[in-house]
Amino acid sequence: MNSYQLGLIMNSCISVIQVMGVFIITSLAGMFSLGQASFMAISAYFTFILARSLDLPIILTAIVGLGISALCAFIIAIPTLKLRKDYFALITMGFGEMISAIVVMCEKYTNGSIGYSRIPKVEHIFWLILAITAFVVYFAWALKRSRFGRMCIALKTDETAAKSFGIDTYRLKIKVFIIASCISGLAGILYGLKNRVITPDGFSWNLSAEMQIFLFFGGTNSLTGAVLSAFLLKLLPEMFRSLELFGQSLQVYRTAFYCVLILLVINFRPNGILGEKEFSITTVRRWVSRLLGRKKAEGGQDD
Amino acid sequence: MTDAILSCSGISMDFGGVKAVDDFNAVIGKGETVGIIGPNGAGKTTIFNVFSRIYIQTAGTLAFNGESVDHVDQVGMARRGLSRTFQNIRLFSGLTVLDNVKVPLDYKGEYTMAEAVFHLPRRNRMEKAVAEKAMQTLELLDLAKYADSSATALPYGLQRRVEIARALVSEPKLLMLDEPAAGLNPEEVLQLVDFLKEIKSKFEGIALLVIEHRMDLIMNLCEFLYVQNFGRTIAKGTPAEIQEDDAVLAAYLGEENI
Repeated sequence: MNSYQLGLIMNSCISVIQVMGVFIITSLAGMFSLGQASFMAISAYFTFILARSLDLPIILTAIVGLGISALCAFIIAIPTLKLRKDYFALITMGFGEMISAIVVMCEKYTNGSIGYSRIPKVEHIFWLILAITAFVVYFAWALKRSRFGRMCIALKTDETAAKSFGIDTYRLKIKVFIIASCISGLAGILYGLKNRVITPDGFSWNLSAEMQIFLFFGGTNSLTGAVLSAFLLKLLPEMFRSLELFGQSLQVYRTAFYCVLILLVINFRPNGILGEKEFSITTVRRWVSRLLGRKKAEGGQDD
Repeated sequence: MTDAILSCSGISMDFGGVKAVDDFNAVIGKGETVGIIGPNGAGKTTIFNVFSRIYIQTAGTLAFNGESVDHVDQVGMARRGLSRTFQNIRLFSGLTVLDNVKVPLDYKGEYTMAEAVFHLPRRNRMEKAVAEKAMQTLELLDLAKYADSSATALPYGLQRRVEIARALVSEPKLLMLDEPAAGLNPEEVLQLVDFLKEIKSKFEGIALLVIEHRMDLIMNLCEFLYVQNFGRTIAKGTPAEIQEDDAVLAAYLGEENI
């Protein structure tokens, strides 16, 4: 594989990590955040600026960066999560815009809208990203199958009923939002390490919306669907980059393409492509045995 | 007389100008079975919602297990041992039947998120214990064979049973059932009565509070009844007394002479 193809795969992996963050908020706890890209920005900027100015190893400053993301998430969560769900979406969106503006304003440290590029080079970045992606997906899977996952889904489907079974929904929501923001922050740091430059535009509202689109496309309650759609929807547009329509690369029409896709999905499969289906060993086994069974039956007819 | 598990005095609940409940007084003893009956709009479910703290009453005081719970919220009330079902079934749609029944046990789960993520021994042990307990409760309600189906895909009658299982699994001190017999045929109602009596023998000291329209259920099951009409208590007593009560007959059948 050449470095361009490796780059595409890394981009898709980062997209999977981003969507896992959104998955935990939206699919598990039923909250709709439109500002997850801002947590990517917070973690990435803090990690790289601290690494540069204090001359510390990236791994240390990354922990600080994630911590600051968590702290920001905690601070917005306290007042916002007492409000109704739609206000939460609005406030996270506003927070996202605010962070972009702050990055531009603090030009002295962040280099403003030109972008911050004094990012150290990391060896084996491909394997690092692959490993972290695998871990994050595993994390989301294990979380969904634990008591936390059950409490979150209960909270999502019926908050009043969840409360009447002793679930402290307010604290649970804060916890979930902090975890999801840390995952988003992780995606931001990896994004910076991979591209070696971060700009405020790169973490704009578009990116937050894109994460939600990927999630809804794959299936709001399916981890498998979320992972697949995050990976493929990021990868496919790049593959069609060389194709042309009306004298322009198909890449230009990406947003229009997403919109059509979303309209189709919402109309015909309101729960996303995979709905609530999950990949599991037993399902695969069932498929295989069904396939084998069919072959046997066909073989029998031949005789 | 036994100790009271729940007692309230002068409970009123206003919504704007509407008095949904007006001066409701009741005492439910440990292990008692008490019914609240009355026509639609009599404020029965509002009383349930005040007891489970979904609403905070506009006047009056409430005590649970000897402790004043006027400032306790819904979560605190559930954790103190009050459990309920809902009139319009409110199962968790994204979860299987078994997982629905596990949910009430989850808040007191002892493993942390890190243990959950890395599947450490304590997580696996606790999950196994929770699954066993939930399964036992399902077996008690004859629901074991539906454990893995999606809760909201079940027929109505079964969903009601799953709701009861979910409310019972945490071994509450007081179980409140909001119209458990709605939509059941007469034979199923008799089964439900038998089953509720069985619960009382299996869960020692559990008190039941039932809202119901179905007289066959109420009269067979309850030891004491409150009759509500337009938010007020128009009669209280044993089923036998209630059947003879003029005010109740008037509310249900209309005035005798006009």
